[in-house]
Amino acid sequence: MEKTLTELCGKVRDDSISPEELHQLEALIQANPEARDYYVHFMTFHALLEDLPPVREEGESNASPRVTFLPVWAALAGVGVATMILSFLLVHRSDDQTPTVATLLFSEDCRWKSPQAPEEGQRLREGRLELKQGIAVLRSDSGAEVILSGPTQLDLVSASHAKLHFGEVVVRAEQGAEGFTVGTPASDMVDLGTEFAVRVERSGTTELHVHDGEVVCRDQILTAGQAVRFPKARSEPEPLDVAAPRFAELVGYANPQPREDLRFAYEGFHYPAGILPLSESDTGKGWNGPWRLRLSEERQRPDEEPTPDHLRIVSGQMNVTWPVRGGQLGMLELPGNCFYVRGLDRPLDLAQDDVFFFSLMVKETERFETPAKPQEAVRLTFRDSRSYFGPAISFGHGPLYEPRVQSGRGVLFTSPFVLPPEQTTLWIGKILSSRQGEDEVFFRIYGEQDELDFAEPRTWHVTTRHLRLDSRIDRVILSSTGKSVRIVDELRIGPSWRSVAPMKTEP
Amino acid sequence: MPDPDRHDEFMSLFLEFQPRIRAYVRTLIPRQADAEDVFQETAAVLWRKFDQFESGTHFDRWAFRTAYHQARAFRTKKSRDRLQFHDEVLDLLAERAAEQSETLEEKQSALQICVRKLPTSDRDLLAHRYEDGATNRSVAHLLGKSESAISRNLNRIYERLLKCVNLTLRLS
Repeated sequence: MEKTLTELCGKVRDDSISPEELHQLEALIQANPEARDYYVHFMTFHALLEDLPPVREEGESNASPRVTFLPVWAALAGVGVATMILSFLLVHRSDDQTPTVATLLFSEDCRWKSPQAPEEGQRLREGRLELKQGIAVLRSDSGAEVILSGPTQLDLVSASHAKLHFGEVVVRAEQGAEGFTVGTPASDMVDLGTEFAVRVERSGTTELHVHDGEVVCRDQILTAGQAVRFPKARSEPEPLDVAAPRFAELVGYANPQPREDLRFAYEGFHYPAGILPLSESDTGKGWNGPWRLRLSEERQRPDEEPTPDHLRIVSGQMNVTWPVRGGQLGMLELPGNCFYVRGLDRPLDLAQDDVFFFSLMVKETERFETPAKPQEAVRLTFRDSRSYFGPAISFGHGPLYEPRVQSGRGVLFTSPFVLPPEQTTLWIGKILSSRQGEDEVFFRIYGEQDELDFAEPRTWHVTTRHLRLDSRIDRVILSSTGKSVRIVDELRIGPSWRSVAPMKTEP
Repeated sequence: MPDPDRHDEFMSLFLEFQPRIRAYVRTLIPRQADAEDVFQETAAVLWRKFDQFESGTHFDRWAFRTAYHQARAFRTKKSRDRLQFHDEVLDLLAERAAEQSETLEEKQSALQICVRKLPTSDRDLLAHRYEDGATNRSVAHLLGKSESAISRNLNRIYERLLKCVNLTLRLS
């Protein structure tokens, strides 16, 4: 049956046109300039309506909602344009006005709505996330962890509020993170702790499954083991059996694995035990030369160099309780006073938006009762060869064995935590560099009893403030001062937690 | 890749002309999802090649040329897909779409006015239909109507809007 031009255009708009009908439309377009104009007008309207859709305003009471058309010149408020902007911002991170509200903890084999492509460790700003496929985990700044299963579209409204337009999320909020709210077409779901799943279909059908704790939904409290379904946004709830997956199940299904392949640099000190001349210390990955002593321009006192001209390799001296592959094959013994330097192949550019992680195992062999002079310390320092004594970042501890981060301008950030004495410890640091805004550095020292999770921790021992660095880090220095001997091993530098952390994995 | 410092300049231009570029692409590509893909690819190419854009010249015309090539390239990729326009039709539509694009902002303002003139039920339908992720089917489900009723109503609304917008533009 012959369709009218309007009907054919409508079918294109609604994605319901058949190849034969499209052929009819093509014939009309080719034969008739007015039909051509009509089609262009029609599809232009469709594009305009998509860009700035008429918006329903919810009324206070049962009065029917008014419909307003978002003003053209308030384009930034328009859903379509806002999505584009926010997508760009999530990718390019060039706008330091929009607040960040969450961190992406984990994602693998994820397909996001182009051009989004957030990376693990990256901060997420207020705005829309659209995961087309895959499983991703984020932690909001309020402490709630949210797993998204694609396809899911979730707006991050603030640190404690997200809106689920369609898809499925599981929220886990431990103590202190209560109050996280997931908005849905049917109702806001407010978490009173600790775990629930929400599923929204594109039709507006909404389901809530409470795994643990309590959730407030439409002014009712639902408890663990309860689930409800709203067939339509305005429907009354129908009870259901809990059938959604749990947070831990989804993580298990995603099965996060270490990503050694992503590391920029690695040094496991895989040398035979004994004395190793510096010139022969050239294994590992991502370095542009072997370990060496400081050049004269790299020393505060150019005439002094207490460091021996070799590495002393030992083995079996650490109690390695984490799954560190290669952790037992040789480690470096740092004598009382030494500075060993090595150059990075791939510099870490702190002038760009990026994320870096490092990890290092450190064992203190002896802790003295009273603070000594010179101060006992072991340090890992990152420097820029263009400006060696300029802004740098070093990780270590202070005189009271408190974890400490120092920025090259002399600013110290410390923690009240005291390192357990004479234990093997695992140092992990994160550097969030920002092109325009503040850089953030995080540091945590794990003890033998600690397990490392599949993603970065919620709390760090040290976090920095007001740091703005634009160094290009291409030198790593392992140094030690004082009398005692320290053992270090497994220096890893990479773009994500999973690339450096000996995280626990499912068997 | 252009210098990241030019990103603000790019974003400013891109946002300004985004409605024109979207409308242009939508006219050339019949299937919604394909049009989205071509639009996103166009955006990415525009940024990648931003160094080739001469500041002060017409960003939209440059963008249309890129979008046109992306549309043609897309067609080559999926040559066995019959839900695409043939080259001759694509060319005719591309020319007309570029010409009509000149008055897009006026059309947008007129559309605003005309939507407000619609009866409440029609405006409600538009609001539902153009919510993110909605389809005729989901709207039909939501409002308890048939899919064909929804598409008939939308077509009727479109006809009305087209007439109203033409009149509004002529009177202004």
